[in-house]
Amino acid sequence: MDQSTDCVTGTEPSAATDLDLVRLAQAGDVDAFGELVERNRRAVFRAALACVRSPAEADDVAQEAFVTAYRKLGTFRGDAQFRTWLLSITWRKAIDRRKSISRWLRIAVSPSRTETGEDSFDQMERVAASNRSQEDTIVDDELQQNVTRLIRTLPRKLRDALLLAGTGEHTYEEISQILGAPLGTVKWRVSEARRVLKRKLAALGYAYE
Amino acid sequence: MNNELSWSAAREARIDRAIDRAVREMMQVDPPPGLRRRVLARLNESNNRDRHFLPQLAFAALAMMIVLLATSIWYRGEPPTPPQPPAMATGAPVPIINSEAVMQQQVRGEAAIPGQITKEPIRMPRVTNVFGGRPREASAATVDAGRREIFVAPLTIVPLSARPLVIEPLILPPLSKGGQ
Repeated sequence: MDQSTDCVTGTEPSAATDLDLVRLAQAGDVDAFGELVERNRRAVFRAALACVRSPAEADDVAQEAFVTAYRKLGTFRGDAQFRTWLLSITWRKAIDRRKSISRWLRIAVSPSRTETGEDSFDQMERVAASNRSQEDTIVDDELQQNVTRLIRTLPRKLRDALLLAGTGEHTYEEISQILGAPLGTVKWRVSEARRVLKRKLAALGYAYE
Repeated sequence: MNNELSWSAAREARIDRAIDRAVREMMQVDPPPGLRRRVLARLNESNNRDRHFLPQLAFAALAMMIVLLATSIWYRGEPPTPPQPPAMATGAPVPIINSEAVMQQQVRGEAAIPGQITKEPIRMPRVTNVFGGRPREASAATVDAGRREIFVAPLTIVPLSARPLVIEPLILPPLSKGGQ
C-alpha cells in the first residue's frame, strides 16, 4: 500500500499490480494507465451497462470513467482497491448519463435493438443451435423474453443490484461499495428482485407456486 | 402429492434458470474492441486541448491586465472634476403654472374620445425650481455651477427679548363657616 514511486519505477506492466501501475500512471506513464484500462475494461463496461443498458452508451460511459479516473489519479492514495475506486467513478458517470435528458431524447427518436428486445433472427439462431426440441426452445425463449421485459420494469434499486450481480464481474462486496449500500441490503435487493420477477411471471401464467 | 411437489419445484427451477439466463444475456456483453485505444486517444486529445488552452488563458489575462493598467494611468492624469450641480439650482425663473388650465385640458382630452388612446401629447408643466421665484438668490445648500462657488446665506441671529416676568398675586376667597 505504501510503496513509493521509486520502488515501482521500471516494473513490467504485465507483472505489476494495479497499485504499481497506478503509481506509474501518477508519475505520468500513460502506457501504465493503458494497462489499467485493459485490465478493468470489462468490469467497467458491464457496470456501466447495468445502469444505462445500451452497449453503445455503456462504452461511452466507460471511456468517460477512464478519462475521469486518469485526471483524478492524484487523489487516489491507495486506501481502497483501484478497481473499486474506478467502478465507483463509473457508476456515478452512468447515473449521470441515465439522468440526462439527451439520452431519453435519443432513445425516443431511435429505439435501439437493446431497448426493443431481440429480433426474430436471434430466436431462429438459438433454436438451430439448441439440442432440445424446437417446441421447448420456443417456450423457453418466450419465457425469457418475458423475464427480460419484466427486468426492465423492476424498481431501479432492485434492478441495479440484480444486473450488477449478474455481470459475473463484481462480487457482492464490490457491488455494495459501488452502490454505497450495506452488503446485507445488496443481497436483499437481489433476492427481492427475483421474488418480484417470479410474482410478475406468475401473474402472466408462469406459475411456480 | 410428491408428483405435485416435484412438478412445482421443476417449474420454479425453470423460472430461476430463465431469470439467470436473461440477466446473463443482458449483462455478459463484452465491450467493443479498441476501448483502450479510444481512452488513450481521448486522454491525448484533452491533453492537447489543455496545452493550447493554457497559453490562450495566459494571453487573455495579460491583455486584461494591460487594459486595466492603461485605464488606471489614463484616469490618474486628469484633474478631479467637481460634482455638477443639479439643474434646479441655476436660479432660472419659475414658470407660472396654471393648474386649472392643465386640469381642464386633461379632462377635455379624456372626455373627447372616451375609451380610446389619444395621440395628442399631454402637456405637463415644467418645474425647474422648487425653491422660489427670486433670481440671483439661492438657499444655503445651493451651488452655482457657473462660478463654482458656494453661496451660503448670511446667518442672522435674532436677539432674544428680555421682557420681565410678571406673576400676578394669587387671591384666595375667605372660607365660610361649615366648610361651605
